Amino acid sequence: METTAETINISKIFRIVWSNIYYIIIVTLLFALLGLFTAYIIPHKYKSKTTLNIQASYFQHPLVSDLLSDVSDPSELNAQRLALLRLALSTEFLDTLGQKYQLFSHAGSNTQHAIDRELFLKKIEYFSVSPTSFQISVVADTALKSYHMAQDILAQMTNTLIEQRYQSLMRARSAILKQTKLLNSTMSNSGALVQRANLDLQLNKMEGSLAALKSRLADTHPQVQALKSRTAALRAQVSHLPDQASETIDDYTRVFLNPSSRTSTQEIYDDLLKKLSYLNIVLEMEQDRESVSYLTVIEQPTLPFTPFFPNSKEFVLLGALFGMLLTLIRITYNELKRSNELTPHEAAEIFKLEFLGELPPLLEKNRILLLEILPKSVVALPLTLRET
Amino acid sequence: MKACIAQENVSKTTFEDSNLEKKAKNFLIDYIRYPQCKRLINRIFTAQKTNNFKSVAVISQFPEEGKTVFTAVLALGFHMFLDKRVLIMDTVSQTRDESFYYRGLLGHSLLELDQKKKQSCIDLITTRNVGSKIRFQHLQTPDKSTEVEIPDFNQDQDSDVTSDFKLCGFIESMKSNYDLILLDTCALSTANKYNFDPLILAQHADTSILVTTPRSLDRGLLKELTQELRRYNVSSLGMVVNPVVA
Repeated sequence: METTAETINISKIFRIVWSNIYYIIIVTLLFALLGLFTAYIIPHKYKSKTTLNIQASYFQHPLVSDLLSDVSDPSELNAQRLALLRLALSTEFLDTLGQKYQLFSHAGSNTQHAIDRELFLKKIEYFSVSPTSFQISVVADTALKSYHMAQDILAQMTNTLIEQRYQSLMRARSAILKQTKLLNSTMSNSGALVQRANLDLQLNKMEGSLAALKSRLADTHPQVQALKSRTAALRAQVSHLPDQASETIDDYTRVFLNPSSRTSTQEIYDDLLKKLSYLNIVLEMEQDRESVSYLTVIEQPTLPFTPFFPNSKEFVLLGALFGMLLTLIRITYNELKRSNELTPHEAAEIFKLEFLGELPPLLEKNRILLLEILPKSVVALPLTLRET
Repeated sequence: MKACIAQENVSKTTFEDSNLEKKAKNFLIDYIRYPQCKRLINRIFTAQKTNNFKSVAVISQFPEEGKTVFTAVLALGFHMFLDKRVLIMDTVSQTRDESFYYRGLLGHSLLELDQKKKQSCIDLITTRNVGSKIRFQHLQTPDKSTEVEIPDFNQDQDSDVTSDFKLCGFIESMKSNYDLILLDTCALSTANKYNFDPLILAQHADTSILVTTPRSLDRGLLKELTQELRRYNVSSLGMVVNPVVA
């Protein structure tokens, strides 16, 4: 009857491992050396890092916040920061950088060039390390190249961020200026109409007085002459003033021409003037790009002294682990195989087979000898068989 | 298809041409003189006297486990030591020069034997692969003047399917002419539709001997094998271990 499976216990495992300890150590060391050798021969890659802080104030516009909407949601802020960083890595910039550092191998083919560009883009990483800070890194085949590339990328990103904000403020200022001019013109028109109405009233009174005076005095009377000349002067003054709103003025402006809007228009005009003034100050300040307050380079690009890939220690460790794993698999396999191997007597006992005996060992040289001689001996056999 | 004896055509000078052949020709005779071989032959001989069997199927789990060497040893031992008439039936398909192995092995050995042993003999029925067809071709009979017709064991001349059942009947008919009939079968693991099935042959033989090596002395393999032998009601004389290579 077949025996039950052997029980595996700790001491047995220890004994098996101990009996194979030299094998384990040698194979593990060999694989560790192989890992070291691999780490030595495969191309090295260097990574230069830099950290950029984009403060929330970048997205805030005091006094014009009602014109340029501020972002306050943290996740949206983060998304906007990432979008701005990605915007900096434009196709043109990547191409320029690629040519500068000779990164593209396929200059002729557009498709291959696009693939090269995409591969290069994958070597540039940027991710947030804190709510406002982003780590930017770039991988290159030499330490110096990665360092210079990181510098270029950082400069491109800061320039893009500043330019984007500057352009945004410039657009706001342009719009405010336009609106201010419009209101200025509107208010001027509105004043002229009121003045004409007053002068018309005054002219009517003077004309009435002149008619009354003419009925009593001759035309050559000095009083009549004086009134007549004053009336003519007033009429000339009235004729220079617009008698109604211009037909070319759009509906939007016409609203402001309403006399009842005069006060409100004045208020808006004052407010816009204040905003315009503020924007002028801000833009003046931000023209000096070295001293913007919302961008800070926390960590300047680093010059990597050791390759980030391959890491020799990791390769050695991985090699050693792999080697050890292989030896353990091999030992386990051998043990399982050995546990299933039976001696002839065990097999005979377990499976109720009579053990008749054992052939003498056939030496390998005899075995080969027999196999080699066979084709030559066919013609000389006592049992040569012939077809009849 | 018929066969006849051709022993008179044997040229002894052929063996003297090569040092290699000189070394080889006495190998089997020396080999069966080892105590292990003599004990093994004796054990089977005494078992034969007790159990009165004539046909023995030599089976193994895998190819190249020593069935042919064992069969040759047994045949030569019964012939040399016991003056018995032995018939070897090599049922393995001749996809390569395996039949030459028998011929070479026994042929060299027999040349050295005492030719006075007129009553004993070793005959060989072998197969040869002709294109895709397998058939028995020849028989050397004990009475060297007799010609025996070998039936075609193919079910159909155009078919590759051999008839194991016809062969079993033929073995029965040969029992009266021989003291021991050894059936060298193909390995159980390589049995296919082109071979004579080793299990069928073993079932129809009087008994069977399992040739094993350390490779096949595996708990799982032996369990499956013995279960299969029992399922087919194969009588087993026992097992012989071949240590393969020293």
